[in-house]
Amino acid sequence: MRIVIIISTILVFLAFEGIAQISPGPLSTAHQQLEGLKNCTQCHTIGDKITDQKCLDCHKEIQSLIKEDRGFHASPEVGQKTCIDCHSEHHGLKFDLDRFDQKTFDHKKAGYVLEGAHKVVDCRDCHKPDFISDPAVRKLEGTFLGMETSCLECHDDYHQGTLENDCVQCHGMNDWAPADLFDHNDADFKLLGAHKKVDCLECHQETVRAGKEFQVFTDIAFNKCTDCHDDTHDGSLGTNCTSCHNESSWSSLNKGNTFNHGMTDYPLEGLHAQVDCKECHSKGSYTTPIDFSNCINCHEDYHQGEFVSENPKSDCKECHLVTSPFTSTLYRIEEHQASDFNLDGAHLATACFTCHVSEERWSFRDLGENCVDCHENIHKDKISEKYFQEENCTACHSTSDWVSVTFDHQLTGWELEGKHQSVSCRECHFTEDNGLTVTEQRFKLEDNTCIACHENVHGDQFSVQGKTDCVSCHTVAEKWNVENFKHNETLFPLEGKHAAIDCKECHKPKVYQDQEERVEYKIQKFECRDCHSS
Amino acid sequence: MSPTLHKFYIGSMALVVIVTTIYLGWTGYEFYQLPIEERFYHPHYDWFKPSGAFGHGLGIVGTLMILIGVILYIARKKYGFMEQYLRIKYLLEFHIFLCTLGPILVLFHTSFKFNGIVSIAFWSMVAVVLSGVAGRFIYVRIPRNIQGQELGLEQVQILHQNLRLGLQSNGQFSPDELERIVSVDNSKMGRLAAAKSLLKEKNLNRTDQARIFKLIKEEYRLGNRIKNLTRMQELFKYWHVAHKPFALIMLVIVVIHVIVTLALGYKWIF
Repeated sequence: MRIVIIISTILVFLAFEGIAQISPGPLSTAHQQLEGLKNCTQCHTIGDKITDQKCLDCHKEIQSLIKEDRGFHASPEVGQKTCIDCHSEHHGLKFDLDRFDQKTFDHKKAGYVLEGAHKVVDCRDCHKPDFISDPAVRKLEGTFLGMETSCLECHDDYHQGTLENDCVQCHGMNDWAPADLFDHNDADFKLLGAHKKVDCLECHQETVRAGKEFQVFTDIAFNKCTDCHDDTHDGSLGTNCTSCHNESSWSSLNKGNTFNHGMTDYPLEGLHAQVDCKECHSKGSYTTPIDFSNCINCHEDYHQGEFVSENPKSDCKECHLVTSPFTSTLYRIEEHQASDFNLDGAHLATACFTCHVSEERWSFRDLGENCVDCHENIHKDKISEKYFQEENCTACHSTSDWVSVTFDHQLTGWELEGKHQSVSCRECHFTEDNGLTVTEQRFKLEDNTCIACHENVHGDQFSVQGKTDCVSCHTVAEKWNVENFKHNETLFPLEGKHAAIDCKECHKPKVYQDQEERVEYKIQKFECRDCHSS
Repeated sequence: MSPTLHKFYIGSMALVVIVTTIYLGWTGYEFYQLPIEERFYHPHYDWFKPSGAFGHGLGIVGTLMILIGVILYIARKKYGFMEQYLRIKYLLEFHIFLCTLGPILVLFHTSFKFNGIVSIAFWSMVAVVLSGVAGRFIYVRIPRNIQGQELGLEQVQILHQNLRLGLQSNGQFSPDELERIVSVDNSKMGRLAAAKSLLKEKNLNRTDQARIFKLIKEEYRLGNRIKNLTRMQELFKYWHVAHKPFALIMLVIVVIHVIVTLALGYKWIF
């Protein structure tokens, strides 16, 4: 038994000497300085396993973060755990104490939400010693600690301190440029009008400062327009541009702007005072000289040169005023009467546009002086050239009234007599449809007999050699009387009782061979019994 | 204990050891096969780790098994504890069962992490188990009485002589025939084969043949043990020197391990 005890003691002694530790396994490289029996209580608490306090006593950087409520270790999720829940030990030298899935890690828990471009960059693009300000933390190999949330902790200050450090006031997370979140209205110089459309570089020039690219955003003078803009007026109109101009456009002047055009050689009068400046100052600047000696230098010549004359020099103002629109004119009847075309008769009562508007355009020259230049010649070749030479309407008509015709019918060799003198020309020369439209004109009449116009109700009863001469019985007096007929000169003179009876007693209607019913005047039977019954 | 019951007793214990080992290996294979550095990040680390609910439990139960197996055996063997009820042979088998299953549980408790001072306990345990297997080999080669006490050479020789006499009377062998059987200086198989052919010549029924053949085998075994008795007794002395110190080392370090564990606050489920 003694031998057993001796051998056991020796073996135990050798074991302690050989191993020299009671640890369940080697510590990781990071904790190598804590190896050894003497160091157990550096981490372990007697009777209470491993307390966070022991860890934090060494890892002061973590303790500070927790106190400052910063970073992942200050998050509620971590707050519910002990250090050893995530960071175990005694798993060998190569053990990774702080392994976690970098792809699925919820960065929000670290107190900094990854947005935009931050989502796609590699963790180590940010978590690297260069960006860790605390020297003690920077020395920790592979640490994710020590990062600040300020942009400039990682990113270079492009603005070189000229702007505030809070980059996200202007820049989004997706890209530095353009600065999506920047609102120029928050700046001292608010963009209005055309300034909104101007490229930023026009005002904020790119340059080099301290050997680096730099764009000027501050200390830009803007109190006066001329701080940036050239004075095209060369100071002649003062320095207060906004008294006339606004941000919309240089060429758009303020309504009610105080510029006194009366100071110029061309004081604005009448309607000129109401038009926009750029209507006239359309080329160059407002100081570019304008030849205002003639209206058509600015205005379009509506009349297309109809009134242009060099001597004397013509101008619109001879007929128009600047106080009235061009539709108003100084040209009156009096001037018209002094022209080559004297207005008389119905022309005086005719509206101007009736003659002077052609195809929706006013025309005043070369309208012609003949009636047919304006009026339609409805007769054309219906009237003999002999009475209607060179389409001269005035041979028959006058300016007083078209209907009043003064033609001397005697010239035709067929003088108007009796009833013919009082009827309208139209009765004989026109055939009208419903009394409105002339469907036929008859001026060149070859047959001058009555029946050429009048209806022959007697048929061939009075025809002599095929012609019926109405006036052998009738007159052309007012009532178409039968005054020229003498019954006594016929084969049956009226005597006795015959002279007193009505004509109709003897001359009664009869149906002729052509099936027409006419009153029979030429009774060939003169025996008494032919009329009287026995 | 009848031979059948004894076989069941041995078989049950062997089955428990095998099933337990397979179960533990199967349930924790995924964890145990990981490199040490990777285990912490296994989803069931807290369950299988040596200080986990499962792993720590294995250590405690396994240690208790070993302690019970050792203490009970020593108490019976050295101090006659429950001498009337516990046969030293069966208790040794139970000791072997507990001290086999216990180390297996402890093996899984370590999660196959063999370093640190605890590993000394572990390797001591391994040494104890292996030496136990060797001890068992030697142990069975030293004849004992029914109480398990070693028999001296003289007692063994008497036993051997009695066996020969039994063979002579039961097997109807003449002294010459018997001498021929036992004196064949050949291998075990050659000798037993010669005995078997001789038995066939005797015109005995099968039952008698089997019985006599069993006696021949016992005589042969006993003869061998008498030949090696001195050497085995010598070996067994030295075996104690190997088996016990490792057991003692294991005990000491386990005590230290438990004290340190408790001192650092690892109280399993309590």
